[in-house]
Amino acid sequence: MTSHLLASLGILGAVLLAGYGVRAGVARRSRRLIGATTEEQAALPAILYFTSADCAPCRLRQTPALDMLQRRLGESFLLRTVDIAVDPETARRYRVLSAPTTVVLDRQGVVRAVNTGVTAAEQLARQLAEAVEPATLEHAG
Amino acid sequence: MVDHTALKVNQSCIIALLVLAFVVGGRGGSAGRVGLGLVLFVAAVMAAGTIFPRAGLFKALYLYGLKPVGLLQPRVVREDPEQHRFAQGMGACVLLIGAALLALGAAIAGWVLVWLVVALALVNLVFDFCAGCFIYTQLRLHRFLAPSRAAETG
Repeated sequence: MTSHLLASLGILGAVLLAGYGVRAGVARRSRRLIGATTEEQAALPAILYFTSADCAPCRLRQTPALDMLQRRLGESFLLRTVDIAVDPETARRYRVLSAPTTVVLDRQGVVRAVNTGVTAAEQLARQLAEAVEPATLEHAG
Repeated sequence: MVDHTALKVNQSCIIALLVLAFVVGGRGGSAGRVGLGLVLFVAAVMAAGTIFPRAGLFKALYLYGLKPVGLLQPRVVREDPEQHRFAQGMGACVLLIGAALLALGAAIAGWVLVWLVVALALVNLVFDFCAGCFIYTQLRLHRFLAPSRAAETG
């Protein structure tokens, strides 16, 4: 029984070590991939909004929340809508698992927040504010 | 709406019971039958939780035990619960195949499948990466699965 217990601890430890290694590698790779996007060149923080045609919460809640955010913040951030069925490559690049997902990028194109599920405009505004200097993000309304 | 704390409790119970099954029953013999029984028990709980979401035993442990006494706080995320059900159903299927292999005497193959479920549950618990959800999303992206009811109704 002791040998099986030790084997169990060994396997669990190996899975955890492998997981931490993969996560670190994925984070490095994501940053490189994100660095090649147009959001970085625009020098504005951005929100990538991953949606799909059959996503009712997207239509009913997330899109109105983002519309409200755009009205509040004007052109101080970029909003790019990505249909995960039309552009699965971008969805894969950002490891999107479901719609809606919103990804907040800072001005260098580095991912600052990933929201799975419907996210309120207030939370997105907070995340954008954290991604830039306070003076950069001006309220339009 | 998905309570991620309930998912974490579910994953913790699955890992704990399956590791216990291996420690107790990995040697075979009469202890092996105890291990096989535990694997079957976990598979049955997972299958029941997939078919009847309200019948999940580990979830009930959280809802009626850990949560009311304040040991754990809910972390509710607005997302599609179907993907988690799919992942749990996939785990139940793998465990059932593993249990069948154990019962037929193919101990190594059986325990490899059991450990596969343990490893994926651990990755989900610690790193928040749900492999079953990933497969579910890919199947939906490629139109192999119909849109979920949650997505239709919002």
